[in-house]
Amino acid sequence: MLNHTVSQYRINAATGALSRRPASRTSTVLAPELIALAPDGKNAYVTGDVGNLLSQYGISPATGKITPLAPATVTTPAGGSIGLAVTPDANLAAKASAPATALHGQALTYTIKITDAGPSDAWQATVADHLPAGPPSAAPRPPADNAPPQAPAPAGRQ
Amino acid sequence: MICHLGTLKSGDAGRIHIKVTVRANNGTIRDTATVTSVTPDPRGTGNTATAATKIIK
Repeated sequence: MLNHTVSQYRINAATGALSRRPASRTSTVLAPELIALAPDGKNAYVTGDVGNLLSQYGISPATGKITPLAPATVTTPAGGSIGLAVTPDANLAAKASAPATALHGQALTYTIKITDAGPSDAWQATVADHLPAGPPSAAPRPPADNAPPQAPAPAGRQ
Repeated sequence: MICHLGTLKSGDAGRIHIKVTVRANNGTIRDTATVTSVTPDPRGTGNTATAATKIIK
């Protein structure tokens, strides 16, 4: 960071050498001091050593180009040098559905819908499902829409 | 049972279908599912859901 700008470089994977990316400099707050990248790599944030402003940027997944967000700056609670950390934030929800009634011996399908309202991606999302214990079911069970097949589920028994 | 969904993109949804055969003769079977992630979910509400099925004769 120099002259109130943030600059981007490529890192040579073999040598570790830096090279300037084309059109890779953009303005920041005065006296940029700290930069933090969002864990998902989509955003960057820069604090300044002067004043109480923070610059915020989007990072193109395709090109890596850094572009100021709107607004380009936001006010921070403290002026001058502050710590800077980016914590992702997911908003997960589960909904379960099943037939209201079933007969003994009948096949029964439970559907679990999982959503993430964001703003961040939910990494390593895991669903723990509990059915009453029972003997293994002979019925085949399709896998989750985006999950690998699992071991057969126990049949419900009460 | 544990299902690993991998990364669930912001705004996306996934579904899990669990097919069983009813062995009970009566009562109610309740399936409870809880979703978690490495990504913090500070709200912490709505992550558990239950579906109940009444067994009839």
